[in-house]
Amino acid sequence: MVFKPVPESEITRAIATSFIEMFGEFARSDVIVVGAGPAGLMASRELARRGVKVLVIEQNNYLGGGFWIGGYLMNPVTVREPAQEILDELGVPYKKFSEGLYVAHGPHACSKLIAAACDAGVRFLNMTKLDDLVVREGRVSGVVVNWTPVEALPRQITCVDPIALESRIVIDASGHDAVAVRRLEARGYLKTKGMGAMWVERSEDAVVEHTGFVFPGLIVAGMAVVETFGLPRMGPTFGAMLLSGKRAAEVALRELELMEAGAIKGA
Amino acid sequence: MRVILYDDRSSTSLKITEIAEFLRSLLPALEVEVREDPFTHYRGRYDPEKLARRLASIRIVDAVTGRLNSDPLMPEVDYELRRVLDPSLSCHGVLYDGYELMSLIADLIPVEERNRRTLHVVFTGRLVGTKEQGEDRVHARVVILGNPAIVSTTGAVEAPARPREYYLAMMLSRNPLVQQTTLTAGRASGGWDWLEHDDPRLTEVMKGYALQAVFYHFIGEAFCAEIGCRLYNAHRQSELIRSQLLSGKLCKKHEGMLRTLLR
Repeated sequence: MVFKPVPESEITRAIATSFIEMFGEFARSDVIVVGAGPAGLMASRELARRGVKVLVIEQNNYLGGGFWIGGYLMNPVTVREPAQEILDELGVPYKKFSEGLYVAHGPHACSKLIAAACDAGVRFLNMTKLDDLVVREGRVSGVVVNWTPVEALPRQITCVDPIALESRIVIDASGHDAVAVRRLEARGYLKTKGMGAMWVERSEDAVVEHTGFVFPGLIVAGMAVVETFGLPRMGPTFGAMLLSGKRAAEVALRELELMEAGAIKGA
Repeated sequence: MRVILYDDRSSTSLKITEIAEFLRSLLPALEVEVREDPFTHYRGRYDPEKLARRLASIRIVDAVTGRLNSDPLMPEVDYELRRVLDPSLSCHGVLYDGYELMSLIADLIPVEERNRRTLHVVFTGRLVGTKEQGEDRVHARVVILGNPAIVSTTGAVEAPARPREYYLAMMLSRNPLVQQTTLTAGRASGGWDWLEHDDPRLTEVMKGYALQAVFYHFIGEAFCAEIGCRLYNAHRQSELIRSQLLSGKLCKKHEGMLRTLLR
């Protein structure tokens, strides 16, 4: 016999207890990141390695979003300079394809980024979908979530109420869906512009630069930035996603410091 | 007659003094002055935060209707504020209403310099667009003629169309590696040539657009129908290269007009 005999019920208890323990601990976090694509993973990793308590919610079972694949079902993912420095930092091997353009193996880059986030102490709730935002005193202070399968079925069948998770800051890194921003829009707090159809070179810079607070307590990062501000479409290069995630973390850290100093009233 | 040229500090290849020299050599009677970008030159005449908000609000958010960004979000205002305070920062990926930008800069210019004899030509890295009568959508522009005239260095790269095959290739394969290979092949064929960002040919091209602004303001002549003339309104990169770089001259009609202006 290779493995030690363990009763099935003990395995179930191990899963349930560990989950509940984590769930209870992260019912209140410093930062909740919506979406575990490259921007969300990068933001969460940067925050967690600086001691911030970060929870990522992801609607799919798998983490990584579109970072597994480079476009047209081809594995190589590309980044433009200076985003290769992040690949260096994560220990992802890559090659220089042409001046300023670098190429890496998608599965390698994506798995390294996920591992880096996990190593930094990020916790994940996958198969979890954003239902709404907690907005208190004019500030986003958490998310309302439900299981993805529950959300996928008609309410008449599931009839399962969502639950709320609190945080001091929420980062919307949910890609083109921009789910958190759209919830605020539905409530009339802000108006998004939708993704611009125009092709403009170097618009990746604009994505990074527009990463920031769109509403007190809510930061937007990654492709959600493109949707929120109507920036031009980009090709599938991931540099902007990684750097936008990094920028989101910097913005969140500054805000958390101000909150600690009492300069901003947090949730 | 006086022309004031405002520099675009976000461009690494624009040599504003060369453009001034070009105008002086063509029109010796013209008094040409070179200034820093308008936000630096008129510092102290405006509230940076209010100006940033106004810049954010003149972004075009719908390229079909031309709808403006009437209610800008915080990062949009912050983005503009960083550029008002440091005009050397580039602003790729944002489209502004050309006439609104003209009006915003006009408001910065002191009354004593707003007169028929003084033309302000503002070079900017901002991409500008307008929707003219009869057009079904906003078009990006290189130049918005008027006073101040707006000349977009980014517009020279983005506004005139590249070959149709280029856009098809970009749409058909969204993989940058394939795009890069197609681009290299297109260039090798000799047919694909256009102005790039920070292109060393930018200053030469911009001389022609500065001249267009001068012609429009002092003579009332907007564009020329002849592709070999520097006043040609290029809609394609191939036309821009032909009129501004390969020809680099005025046509006979406009040379004659220039002589009239000199008298």
